[in-house]
Amino acid sequence: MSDQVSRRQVLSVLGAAALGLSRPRAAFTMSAPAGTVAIGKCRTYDRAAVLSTLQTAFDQLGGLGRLVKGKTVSIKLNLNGGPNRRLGYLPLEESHFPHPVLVGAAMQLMGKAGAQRVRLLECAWAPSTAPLEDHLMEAGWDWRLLLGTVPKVEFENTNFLGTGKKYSRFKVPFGGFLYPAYDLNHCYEDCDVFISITKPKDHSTCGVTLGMKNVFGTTPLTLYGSGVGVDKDNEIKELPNNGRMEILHYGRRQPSSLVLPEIDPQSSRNDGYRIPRCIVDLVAARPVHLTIFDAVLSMAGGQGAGLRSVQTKPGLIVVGNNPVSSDAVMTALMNYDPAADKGQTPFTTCDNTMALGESVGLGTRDLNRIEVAGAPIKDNICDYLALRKARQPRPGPGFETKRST
Amino acid sequence: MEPLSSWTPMRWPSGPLEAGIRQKKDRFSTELKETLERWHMPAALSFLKGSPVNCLVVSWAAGLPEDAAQQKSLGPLMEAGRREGLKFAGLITGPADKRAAMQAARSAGLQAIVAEGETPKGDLPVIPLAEVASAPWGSSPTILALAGARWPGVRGQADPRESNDINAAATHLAWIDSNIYLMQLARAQARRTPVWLMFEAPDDTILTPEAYLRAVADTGAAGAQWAVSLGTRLRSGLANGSAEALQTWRRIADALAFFPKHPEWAFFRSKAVLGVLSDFAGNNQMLGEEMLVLLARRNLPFRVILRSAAATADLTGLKAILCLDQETPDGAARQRLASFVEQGGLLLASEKWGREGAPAPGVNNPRFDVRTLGKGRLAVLKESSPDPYLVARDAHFLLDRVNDLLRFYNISTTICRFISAGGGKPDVLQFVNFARRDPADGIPLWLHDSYRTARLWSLGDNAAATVKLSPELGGVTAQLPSVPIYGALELS
Repeated sequence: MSDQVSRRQVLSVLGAAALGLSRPRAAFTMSAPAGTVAIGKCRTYDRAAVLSTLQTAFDQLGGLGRLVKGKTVSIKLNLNGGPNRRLGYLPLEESHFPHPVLVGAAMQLMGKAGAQRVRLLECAWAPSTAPLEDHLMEAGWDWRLLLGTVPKVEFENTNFLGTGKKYSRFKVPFGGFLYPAYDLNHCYEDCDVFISITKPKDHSTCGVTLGMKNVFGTTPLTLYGSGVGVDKDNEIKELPNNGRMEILHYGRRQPSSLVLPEIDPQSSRNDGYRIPRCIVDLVAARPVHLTIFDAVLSMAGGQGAGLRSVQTKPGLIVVGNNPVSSDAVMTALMNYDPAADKGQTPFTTCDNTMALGESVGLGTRDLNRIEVAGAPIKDNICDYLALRKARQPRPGPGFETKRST
Repeated sequence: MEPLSSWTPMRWPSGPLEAGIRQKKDRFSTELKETLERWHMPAALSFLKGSPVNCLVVSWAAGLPEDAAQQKSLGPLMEAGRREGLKFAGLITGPADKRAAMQAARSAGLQAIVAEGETPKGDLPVIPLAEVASAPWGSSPTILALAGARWPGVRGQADPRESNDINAAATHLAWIDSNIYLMQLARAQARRTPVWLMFEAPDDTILTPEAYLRAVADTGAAGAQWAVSLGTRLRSGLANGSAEALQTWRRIADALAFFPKHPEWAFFRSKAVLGVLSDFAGNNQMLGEEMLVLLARRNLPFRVILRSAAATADLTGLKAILCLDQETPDGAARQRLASFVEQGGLLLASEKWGREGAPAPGVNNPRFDVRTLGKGRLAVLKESSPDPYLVARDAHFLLDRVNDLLRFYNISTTICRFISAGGGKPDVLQFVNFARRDPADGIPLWLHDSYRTARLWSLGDNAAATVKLSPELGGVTAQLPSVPIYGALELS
């Protein structure tokens, strides 16, 4: 398995960015690298089944050893929403949090492949500044079960400096759509391998939330959170309660002067425009080496538990070595078209993040160029599209109903 | 006469004395003046018929010129009340001549006196009115009227005087005023003394019927009785015979009737893995009480241990003890705590405790120096004035959420009291939901213990509903329905 997207590769295709996105549908950027994506069937979170499925998937990508042997691995978890918000009575990991069994199995295989250290990272839901372990425990994970899977296991809540002394600045190699650089917790820099683990879900702003979107959650609220000082960061205790809305979502103001300002403050303030671009900036600046989708059980109708959300049972574990290609295959498995343009389902009100990523050479979303290993896409579709069509229009004020779960 | 402990009290502000007192305060409106006058008339009692309220706490003496007129003019009201089976307790406050006031009360036929401070001996029962720290617990009062309680609710929602800009804490969780922690402190002082909480409904906000129900529920869940105190708007409505006001009152009365059906719950012991040890007095009062508030807000059940009883307190079931007093326990109490640690417990102590044992490997807490000692751990504060919020959070983390007794999901506005009678009787988890809107979702409640059955009581219920339990993480998850105000889960 190769380290598919390096900063050097991104730089090599900088010219693609200039091409923009106004081309006809499915006019893929041919220079964008194509990854391999392995699809494994897995109906339960039985540890042995998950281990076996993951092992096969990693092997289909060329083996984990080449990527992680002797290395420090940072894993960005997608613990979206608060740890005490469930979809009905379902445990979080059966709807929108990655399942600890899957994360533990992946770590075990990394340990077996020679990884020296694994850091589990998340900007634990704003504005909690508790240690990540505390956040995990509140969600029902026993983090101690993950200890021993690799020689060194660490946890960090990356919503603030954490164990670091300063933030790491990640410049966007192609210059950036939204910002020229992003300042993140040191753990995103102090690693050799960066992995995104998430569940496939619908997303109100981005259409879908997948491996790339997960990286949006690396931005610390101390710097990019609403209410941040003009010339100082948010103190840990003062983290805001509406996340990144003011600055990253809507661009109503610039972030603290401690970080670089927007490239073009006159650009659209629509979050359907901004967030996909922010994601691509981040993925270009902090390349994702491996994407793991926990699609055994997931949810549709939103990224977190909500009135319009329902549990889904794709029964799959999907692993890919290119962030755009991985998301494209997962999008297809959700019965959405990864080649869809803005205005088309599921990107009805936003740009297609994969298309933007492809345009700057992060990877291809062209299913014809992506090598799919394991179970075929067509036989394993979980029909998010049908669920989307079946949902009622977004409720207005006063709307009260209960979903069935 | 029925014992005082069976009384269901209601504060009855009326007459010239109450007007005199309130004239000195802001917001003495015409509506308030008229309401005080109308509540002084016998006809005002009519709405009480059929309600559990059987004792009216009337203003009796405050050391003001209106005292005499008040006592004289209360006659018709009390006479009418007695015909309806009501008892009357006279409230004596301020610089009143207590001896004279008590003699007058006896002559007027009052059944009891509620009074601050020392009172002359007499044959009229006296219900002491005091704050927790200064209450005469040692005198074993028949009932204690507790001052210092707050109107329960989300800060800024029901009490705008507190400023709307502080209705959320650093955690983004809404700040909730509840009296459950206060009563746990009171119960540590006197386990079986019945307690009246003397808090008033705020007049400067519109209170919904649900706000009143939460006041009843919070007090009942705390194991106390609210000396029901209605806001001027509702009292005015009741005096005017408003159908809406009467409907609100009926709901309040139904709620008041619920807790006397479960009298034993008031005296059950807290089910907890964390003990909070302090004298809750002097320099330690603020931090000690703040810790109780913050731990309660985390739904981390605790047991209050008074420093004076530390040497002999029952530590059964506790995994950790938080002891942040500036004067650390000495002698037998210190030995007891040291032994608790040696045997595997966690002691979180102020920096005054001193450092013992060896640094705990792999633990790097910003506020506590964590050390191993025997089979347990000693966590000593690194600074003398820590942020209470962070200390509460650290305490929870160092205690380890593996030891959590419960976790609520889909609801962030609850305060609970987890109690146990022991002896094979069901545990009871009472909780109040302070959210303004009904939760649309069900409430998953994870419980550490593997209970087999769960029955849910809601406010006003005459029968409990069975709740489904499903195994999860070594315990069970109770699938609670939406609980808009109050629930009591009986767990066997």
